[in-house]
Amino acid sequence: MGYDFDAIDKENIEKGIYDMTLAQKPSNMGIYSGLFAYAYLMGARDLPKRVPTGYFVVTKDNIDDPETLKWLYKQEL
Amino acid sequence: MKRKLVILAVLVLTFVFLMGTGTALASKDKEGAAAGKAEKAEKAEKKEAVAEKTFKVAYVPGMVHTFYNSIEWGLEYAADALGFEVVTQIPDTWDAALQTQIIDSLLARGDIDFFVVVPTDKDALIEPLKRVHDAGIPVITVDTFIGDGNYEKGHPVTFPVAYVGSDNTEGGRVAGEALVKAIGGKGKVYVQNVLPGISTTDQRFEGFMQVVDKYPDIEFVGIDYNETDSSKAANQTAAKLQSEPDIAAIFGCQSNSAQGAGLGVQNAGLAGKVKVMGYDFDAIDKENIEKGIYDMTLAQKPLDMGIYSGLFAYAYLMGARDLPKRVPTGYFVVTKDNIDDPETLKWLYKPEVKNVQAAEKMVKGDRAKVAYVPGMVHTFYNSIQWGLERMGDALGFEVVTQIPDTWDAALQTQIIDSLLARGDIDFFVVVPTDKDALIEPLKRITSAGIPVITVDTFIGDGNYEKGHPVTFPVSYVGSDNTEGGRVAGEALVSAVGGKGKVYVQNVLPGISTTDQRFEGFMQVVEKYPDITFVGIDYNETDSSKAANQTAAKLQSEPDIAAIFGCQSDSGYRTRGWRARSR
Repeated sequence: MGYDFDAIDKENIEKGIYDMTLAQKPSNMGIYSGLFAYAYLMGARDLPKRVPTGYFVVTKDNIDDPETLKWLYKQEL
Repeated sequence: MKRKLVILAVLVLTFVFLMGTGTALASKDKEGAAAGKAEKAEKAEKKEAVAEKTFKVAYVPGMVHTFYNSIEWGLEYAADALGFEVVTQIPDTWDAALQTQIIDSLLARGDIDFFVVVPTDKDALIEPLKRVHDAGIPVITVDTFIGDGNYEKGHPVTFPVAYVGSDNTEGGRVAGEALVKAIGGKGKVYVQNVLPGISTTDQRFEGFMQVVDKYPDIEFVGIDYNETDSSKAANQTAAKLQSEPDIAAIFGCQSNSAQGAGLGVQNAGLAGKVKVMGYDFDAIDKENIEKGIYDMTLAQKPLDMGIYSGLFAYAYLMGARDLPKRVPTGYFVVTKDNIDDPETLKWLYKPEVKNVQAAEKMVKGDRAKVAYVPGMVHTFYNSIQWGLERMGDALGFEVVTQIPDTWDAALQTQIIDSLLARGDIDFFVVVPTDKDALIEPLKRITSAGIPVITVDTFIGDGNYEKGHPVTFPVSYVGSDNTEGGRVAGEALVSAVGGKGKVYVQNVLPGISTTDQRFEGFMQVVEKYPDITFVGIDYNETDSSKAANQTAAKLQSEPDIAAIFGCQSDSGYRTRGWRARSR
C-alpha cells in the first residue's frame, strides 16, 4: 500500500507494482482555503483554525471509477 | 474596467512565470486564457445579478437545545458576513413526524433557497429531504445524517450537498487519550453509556476502546447502560466501585452518564480519587465540573458546524459545485484547569441566540486578489490551485499564483516578499516550505494587515488555536497524517482478511508527517490480534534501497501478507519531507 495518488501511483497500481494507495484530497484543500479567504475578507473572523481534509482509498477495483479519478492529482489546471 | 486590468495583470504574471518553466505549457495556457476572457467577463456579470438577491437559508434543528443554538449562532455569523438570511424553525420535541411537517411547510412557502437540517431519524427523514431536493433546493445535513451518512458513495442516498458534524469515534479517541493521560497511563477504567444500539454513543465507546487497547497498563473493567437515567447510572457506578474499588477513571458517553457516574463516585466517598470524563459542554456540564462532580468533558464544536454549513450554503448558491461531501468538526477537552479560559468558553454551548455581527469587512470579497504560493511544481499543488480557482470562479475573486521552481525556503520567501511589495494582494494562501524559516515572512504579511492561511503544511507546531510559537494564521488546512495512517492501516488489514504479518517501509525516522502516518498505522495493527507487525526499515527515499530491504525482509519472513509504504517514490515528496524535517 502506498501514499498519494498521481499519474505515477496510478500507473504503479495498474502495473501491479502496488495494490492500493491512499489519496489525499488537495482539491478540497484549495476549496476550503478559497472559501475561508472570501469569508474572512467579507468579515467572518471566527473561522475554524484547523481544517482536516480527509482521504480516499484507491484500489485496483475502483481505480477507473469517476469517484476515484476525481481525486487523481491534476497534471494541469 | 478595473476588473479587466486585474485579469490582464494575472495573465501577464502567469505568462512570465510559465516562461521560466516550460514554453510548451506557456503557449497552451496563453491561448486558453485569452479564449476564456470573454466567458469570464460574462460570468462576472451573471455573478453580480445573483449577488443582488438575498438568499434565504432555512435551518431546522432536531429540538430546542443549547447545542442547536450554537449551530444557529454559527449560521447567523456566516449569514451576517456573507449577506444571506437565516430562517429558523425548531420542533418542540425530537420527533420525525413533527420535523417533517416543519420541512414541508417551509418548502410550501416557495421562497427558501437552501435547507440546513438536523435529521431526527436517518430513515424517516429521507423522503421529506428528497422532496426538498426534487424541488430543486439543495440540502445540507448537520450534526446527524440520513442513510449511512456517506454522501460520496453510500446507501441509500447521496443527494445532500454535505454532512457537517463531529466524528463520534474520533471523539471517543480524544476523550480516551485525555482520560488515560489524567491517570498517568495506568489503572482500571469503567464506562457508563445509555443503551447499546445507538450509533453515536456506540461509536464514542468504540473510539474510547481503541485507546484503551493501545495502553498495556490500562485495564477495562466493564460498561453499564443507564437508559439516560442519571440516578440509575449513579447506582450502577456505586455497585461497580464496590466490586472494583481501585477504578482510576470513568468515561460517561454523554451528559447524564457522566453526571450519574460522578454522583456514584461521590456517594462512594471516592471524589477526587476517580477521574470522571463527560461528553458535551453546556452550562450544566460547566457547573458539574466546577462542583467537582466530574473532572473533564469533551466539547463538540457546534459553532463550527454552523459556520461550515453557512459558508457551504452560500458558496453552493453562488455556483460552487465541488464542495467536500463530509466535513468533520473537531473537539476541545475541557478540564478544571482551563474552564475559565476565553479559548474554552468560546466552545460553551450557547444558552440563547444573540444578535451576531461579523467584524468589519476588509475589502469587498468579490473583487479580492488571493495570492497562492505553493511549495514547488507538482500535481498535488496543481490540485490545490484547482480548488482555489473553483472558489474564485463561484465567489468572484482572483487567484494570483506564483510557484517556486524548487522546494526552497529562501526562494519562497523572495516570492512572498515580492507579492507583498505589489501592494494589491488581499489574502495569502501559502504552503510553507519550512515550519521555522517561513514564520518571519508570513509575519511580515500579517503585519501589513493581510491575513494568511497555510495549506498542506504549517508553521510552528501547526496549532493556531493555542500552540507555539505562533498562532496568527487564519487557519491550517490540510490532511491529518495520523488519521491517514489509520485509514491506510484499516484498508490494508481488510485486504489481507484481518490476519497475517505486516511490514513497513518508511523514509527516515524524525520526520513528523511520515512518523505520524506510521503511528496511525500501528494504532490499527495493535487493534487486531491476528495481525503481527514484523518490522520497519528506513530507505532514505531511495526506492532501490527500499526494494533491497524488502527483498531481504521477505527472505527472513517469507509469509509477510502486507507492506505499507509511508510515501510514494515519485520523488517530489522526498524533497518536501526532507525540508519539513529540518
